Amino acid sequence: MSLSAAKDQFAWRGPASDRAAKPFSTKVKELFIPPKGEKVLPTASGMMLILIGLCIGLAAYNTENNILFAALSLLVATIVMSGLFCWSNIISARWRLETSPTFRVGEDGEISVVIENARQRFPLFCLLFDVGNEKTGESTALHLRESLDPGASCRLVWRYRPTQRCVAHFRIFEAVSSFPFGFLRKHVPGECAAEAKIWPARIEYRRLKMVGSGFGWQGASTKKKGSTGELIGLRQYARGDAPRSIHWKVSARQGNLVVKQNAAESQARYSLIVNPSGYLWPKEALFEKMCSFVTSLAEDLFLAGDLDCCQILGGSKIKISRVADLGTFFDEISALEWQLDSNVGENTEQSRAVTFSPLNGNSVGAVVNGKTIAEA
Amino acid sequence: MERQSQRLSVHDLYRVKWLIGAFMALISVGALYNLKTHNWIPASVTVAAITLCVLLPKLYANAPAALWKIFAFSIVPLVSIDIFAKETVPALLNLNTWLILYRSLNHQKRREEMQLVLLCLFLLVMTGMLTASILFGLQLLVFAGLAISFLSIGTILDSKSAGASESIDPSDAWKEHSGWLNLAGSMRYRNVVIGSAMFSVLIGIAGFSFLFIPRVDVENKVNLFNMKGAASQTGFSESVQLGEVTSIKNDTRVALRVDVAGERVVPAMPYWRMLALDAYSNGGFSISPSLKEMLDDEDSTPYRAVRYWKDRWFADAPSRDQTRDRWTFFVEPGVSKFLPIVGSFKQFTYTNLNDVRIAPQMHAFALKETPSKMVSYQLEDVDFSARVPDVPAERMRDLSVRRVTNRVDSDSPEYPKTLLELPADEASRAYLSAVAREITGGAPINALEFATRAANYLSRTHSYSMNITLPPVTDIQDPVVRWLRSDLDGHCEFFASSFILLARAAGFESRVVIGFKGGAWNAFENYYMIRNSDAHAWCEIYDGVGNWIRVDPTPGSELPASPGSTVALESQIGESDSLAYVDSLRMLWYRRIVNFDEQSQKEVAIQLKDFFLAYMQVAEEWAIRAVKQIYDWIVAPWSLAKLFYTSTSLFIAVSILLFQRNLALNYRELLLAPFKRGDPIRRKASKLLAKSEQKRRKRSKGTPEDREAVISELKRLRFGRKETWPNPRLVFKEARRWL
Repeated sequence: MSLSAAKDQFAWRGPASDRAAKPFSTKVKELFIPPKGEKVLPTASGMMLILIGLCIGLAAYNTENNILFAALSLLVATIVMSGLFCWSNIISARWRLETSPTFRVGEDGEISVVIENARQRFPLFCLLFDVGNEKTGESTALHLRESLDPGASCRLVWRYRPTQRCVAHFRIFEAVSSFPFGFLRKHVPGECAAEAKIWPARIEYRRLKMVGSGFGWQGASTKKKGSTGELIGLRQYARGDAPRSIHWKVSARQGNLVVKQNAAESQARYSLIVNPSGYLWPKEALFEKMCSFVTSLAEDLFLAGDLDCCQILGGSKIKISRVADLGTFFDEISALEWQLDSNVGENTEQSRAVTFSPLNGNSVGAVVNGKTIAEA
Repeated sequence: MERQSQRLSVHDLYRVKWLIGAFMALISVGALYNLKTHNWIPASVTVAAITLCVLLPKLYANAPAALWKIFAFSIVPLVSIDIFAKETVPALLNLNTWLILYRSLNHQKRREEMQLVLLCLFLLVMTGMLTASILFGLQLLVFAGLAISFLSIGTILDSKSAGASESIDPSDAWKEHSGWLNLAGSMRYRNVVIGSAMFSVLIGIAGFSFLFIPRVDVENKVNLFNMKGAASQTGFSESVQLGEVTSIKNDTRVALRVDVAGERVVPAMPYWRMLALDAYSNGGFSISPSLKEMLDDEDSTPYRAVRYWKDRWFADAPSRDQTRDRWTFFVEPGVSKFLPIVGSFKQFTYTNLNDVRIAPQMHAFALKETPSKMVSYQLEDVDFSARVPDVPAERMRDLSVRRVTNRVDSDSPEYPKTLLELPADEASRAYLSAVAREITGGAPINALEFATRAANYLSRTHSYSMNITLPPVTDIQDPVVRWLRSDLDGHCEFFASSFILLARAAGFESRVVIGFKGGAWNAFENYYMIRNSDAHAWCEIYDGVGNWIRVDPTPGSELPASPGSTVALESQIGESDSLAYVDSLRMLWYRRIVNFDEQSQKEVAIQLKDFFLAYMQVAEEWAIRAVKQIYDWIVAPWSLAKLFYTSTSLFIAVSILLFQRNLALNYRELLLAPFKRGDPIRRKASKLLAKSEQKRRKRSKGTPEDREAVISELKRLRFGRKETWPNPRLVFKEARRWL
């Protein structure tokens, strides 16, 4: 057997995605009546060959010359074989789409097509995958550069650097086989899609001094849980905990992972409130800047242990205690859409809530209790 | 441990593709050497340039790009010279050759690769059409193999370079070149096998297409790519000097092949008649000017043949009368423009009748020019008696008068007076008259009687020899008469010429006939192979009542009065050596490829149908016979031995059945086990697991516990250690129950 059952966990797509091989009669039927979405199209070379074939055929019939009929037969055989082989090449291929867990504008991420040759005897040649981001219209062609041995798999990687914040829909539009001659191309729908949130880019901002309170103020230790400060207890490791919080000595003694619970360093923990209402952000560029500013500030506050919760007005409040929580907030930010006529209401938050508002037309300010604490 | 072959890099593939392109160009340009009349300079320059580049690729890689540009521009004046100086076809061939040279050394883009393939195919097809030789078939096969390799490597290269094959820098690719042998060493055995399989599939599909592409009989066929005719072999031309026919005898190449169908009996020694020569001058025979003019005239087309032969038909397609015998002739290029025939006939079939000229007085059939490619034609209902009809007297006069009016008066006699033409010198004439009187005895005899006596006379006085030394000139100037007067040995031309002169001296109209005599029977494909060494000269004497009688005065030949001996076609004993086998391949090429037509297509379809019907019939007969035997065996009286035999057989059969039931694998799986990878038990367990998974998906209801247990045991068989395996037979049996 070429494949182990463990591989069934993957959502394979493509002609050989079914674990059970199709009956031969079905394969033959599909050769002549392709399933929906599949098609065989001639390339420019193929069209040229067909045209030459027609000319030779015309000459052969008008001269009854068997040398011309022999040449015509050769051309016909080449076209038939081209169609037959490009079909048989792709029929035993299956693939899936994998993407990086996070994408951020301006930073490289990976979109991979994992291909597997489900044949037992013959290798797989020359496949081409048309992969793209439906949201932005960006796409690329990924070529299977080396022949794939029977039962083997490989990964074709697209190093994708997003240019805008969005919820990206990555899709394999189609897989194409043009082996062996490149006269005909068999197009098979990719059928693979993956959604990924593209977080805003990190931008530079300027912190403004606030004497006595707020961001950057080092206060007394509390018994609230935090990532820094005094050790107040231990607990079992949970997914998303930072590796540095693991108490290795205790973990070694107990035989399972135990993490430290520290007291927060400061009493000044902030809530980030984002108001995406259109009246506040008349320009899309300013809105995007705000999104980037929000994520940059949230990241820094989290690292400093000063972030309590985040909220996008109109949505639920997210308590930020782990990296994964911050990721959830960023995901929500990436899904924000700028709409000029939208209005989600006013912030009614208590003190220590950081809100964002435009400054001087092109800048965005982070405001706490009516005072601007940072500007981007 | 198996050595892992190193995979070819992009640059390696680029160079391999280039090399195959160069070979492809060499094959197609090499086909030009099949054309004997074509100027070989462009082909030689191309072959030399490509070979040089293959042998010294670094030199090629370092050639400045300007060189190729200069060459590309120089193609225009080169071809212009050809167009002004020659015919269209040679100019087209030369243009194609120069373009192939340019493109084979400069192809980077996919469309340029395609151009190279099509240019090579075009040149190959053109030369094939002009020669129709089997060599073309071989070249086409090799070309097909190279072309599919070239195109496949182009596709692989494009994929390997992620669609950037067109932007590979050739200088980078050639920098890494360390010899073709090193590159060949990197080739993977598997790729060679896949390539060979692809080639076989291609040839299979092409063969099938060739057989079953519908053929239609088209009237007014277009004649593409006609080249200037080749020169005839001396000896088969309109003027033959003494010794010219015999000189061909040293050539053992096959000049003519004849396929015989529907004939039971054939002549034991066939005469393949090509042309008759009437005018005589100083040892040489020729066609008289008046006959030559008639032959070249536009009125001598087969469409007007009904004037002379009311019972003959000339057509461009065979008749539908299946009862007729058919003699198909395949004449090699450059033999002669006169077409050999074996006797009179009912139908003459040739694809392009406009090219055929008829000389009814000579009973000869010719093409406009000596063909540069193989020519085939068919005769139906052949009468291979030793007589050919003369043109009826009333038509003869009409023909002669109409042309004589246009002729300028000359001293040379006109046809039919040329049939009695003798040497110019009186001494020769006197000697000939004397010998003629000696033969006739002074009494009036008929032509047949004279022919018999004259042939006997010549056999008595001379022997056959290929080495001739003519006696010195004395009072007699004419070389034939000098030989006749001597007792020297001679070859067929001397015997024939002497006979003609003697017959004419005796008052009988006669003419010399050139052609072939005999031939070998090819036992592989059952046809006549007539070689140039079978070239022969003989005579025809007019019987005075409308027929020309064949007379072969060469010693060892049959006398004219004797009935021609025949032999059954099936009992022909022929050549079966390796040379004959090679020649039979050529005949196969002519029969199955070059001459394949609508009729042949029908025959193939009928043969296929007959084959399957015969196969079915055999199977049916076998089944009936077997059932009958079993029935007879059952109803026959039962003896103790028979009872024992039956019960033992039954016992063995039941035992085998029971034994099989106790096996985990059935017979098919047992038989196939050595040919498949992995453990057969694991494989079967895997198959059943996959089937159970499919069933599970289809069922909406929950699965019973028993079934889960079976699946668990199947998984153990599939993945577990062998020591922990349950009994496979029982597990499989249980699994089948649930599935």
